[in-house]
Amino acid sequence: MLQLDAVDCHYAKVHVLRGVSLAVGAGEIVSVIGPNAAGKTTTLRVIAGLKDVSGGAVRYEGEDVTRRPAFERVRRGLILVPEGRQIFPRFSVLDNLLMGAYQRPDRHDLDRDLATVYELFPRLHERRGQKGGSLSGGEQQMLAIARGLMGRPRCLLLDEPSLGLAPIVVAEIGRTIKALAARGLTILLVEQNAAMALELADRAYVLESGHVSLQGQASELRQTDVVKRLYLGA
Amino acid sequence: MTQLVLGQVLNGAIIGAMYGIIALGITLTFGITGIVNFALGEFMMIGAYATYALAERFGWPYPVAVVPACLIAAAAGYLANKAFFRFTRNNLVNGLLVSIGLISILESAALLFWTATPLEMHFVLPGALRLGEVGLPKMKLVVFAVILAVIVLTYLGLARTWLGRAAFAYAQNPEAAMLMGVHTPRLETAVMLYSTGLAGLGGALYASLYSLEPAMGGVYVLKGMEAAILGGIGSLMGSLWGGVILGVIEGVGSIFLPTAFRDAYGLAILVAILLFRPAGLFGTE
Ligand SMILES: Nc1ncnc2c1ncn2[C@@H]1O[C@H](COP(=O)(O)OP(=O)(O)OP(=O)(O)O)[C@@H](O)[C@H]1O
Ligand SMILES: [Mg+2]
Repeated sequence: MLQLDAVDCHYAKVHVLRGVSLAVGAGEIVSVIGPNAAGKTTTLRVIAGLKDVSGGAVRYEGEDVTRRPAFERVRRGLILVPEGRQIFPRFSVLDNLLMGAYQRPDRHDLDRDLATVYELFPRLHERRGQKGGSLSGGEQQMLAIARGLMGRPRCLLLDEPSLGLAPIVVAEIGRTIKALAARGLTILLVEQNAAMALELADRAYVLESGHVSLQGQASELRQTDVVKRLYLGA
Repeated sequence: MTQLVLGQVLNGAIIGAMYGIIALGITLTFGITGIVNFALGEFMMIGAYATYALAERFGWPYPVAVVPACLIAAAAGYLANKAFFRFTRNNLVNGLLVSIGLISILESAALLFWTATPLEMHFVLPGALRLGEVGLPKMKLVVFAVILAVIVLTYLGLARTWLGRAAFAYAQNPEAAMLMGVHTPRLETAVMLYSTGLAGLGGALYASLYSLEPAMGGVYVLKGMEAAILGGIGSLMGSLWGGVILGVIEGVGSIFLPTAFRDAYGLAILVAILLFRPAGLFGTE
């Protein structure tokens, strides 16, 4: 469904991604884990079209989208929930959610979609009139995910949804991701929280200083020494 | 006396609405695209002279001349954006430099073409509406009604449509707006077309009432800035009301004070209001 072929990427002169290749099949949950500054966020920005590659290709649903602008990829259901939430602080929760459906041809009739995300995140329903900027960190993360879902993703890209959240909220987000996958949504999950990522994912990649150092079934990766030592703190 | 005051209120409201249109354009452009367009007054000048040329030189009826005049101003805005402004995003100093450059070029061009002699159009709609002992010129009422209609439509367009929602989203977080599927280059172009076209409309309406000079744009940008500050920087409707209030203060003030001080007392009241409301009349802290 989604595939990176030997992607290279630079910020000015700094070589941030060095030949990153990865694939996500339809209906899979795939995670990318790795230390700070490994290039995880950059990888997702490349996939979403926010960052140009300096080499390699991005393929989505069988098509080369490497040079397609971000808004076009969104229209095809390739939707990024960015790091740090990036919700619209001066919009109400409801307006944030509606904005998520901006590119949909059927955006005038969103009652069903709203009902679905409110069911996933009852808290957002309680706060639907509140300004996005006044939500707690956890609520903002829920809003960011819900806003992404309003766009009817076929492939959802999540960048560190657990960042800065209390364990109980992390667990809640984890359950939501599972529920979404159970409905057949394809998910690429980037996480520093390796325990969470490897528990949720079918397959996983370890990204280190811009290249894939390890990959495989999540259950197998969990057993490898490197992952245990460096990422699971065992 | 009533005649004098009411007449000046209407006059002030019209001139003020022009300030407001410029203020709205500046606020909208900066708020949404991060581009500073202080040359907006020049697009008003373009609209005004285009109307004059079409109506007086080509003999088109005034209402027919207004539409292409707005389009010409918007086209000039489009070119200015493509050639200069789009490179000044989020860079105040460069935006100012481009604005100053454009002001000099466009004013010189107008001077060359139209000379410094003030030009006046023939009466478009003569006569006055009599309300008891008070008479209000019909054309001024029409101009005021048109501006009011445009303002209401702008408000509805921003508050009630998906395009407006996208514009506000883009203003808050351009990248997130892109992630929602907003065609951001097109949105930026739309804002530029709208603000310069609106300034052109202001100019076209102005041409029907007052005499034209190549330097008219500069005055309106300064007053537009005052209006934007008075209304509260960043508040779209506030900048419009700020303009109207400033215009009415100037108009009514000129009954009691020498007109030479017109610019001064507008500014004095602006300072006085800011002392009590630092964020402007409609701004939030
Ligand atoms: N806008 C930018 N300009 C310059 N360098 C950047 C920029 N964004 C990221 N980088 C650099 O690229 C490298 C990879 O950053 P990236 O954000 O992709 O890492 P990450 O794996 O997501 O890290 P984290 O876990 O901290 O989010 C880092 O060295 C970072 O400093
Ligand atoms: Mg990151």
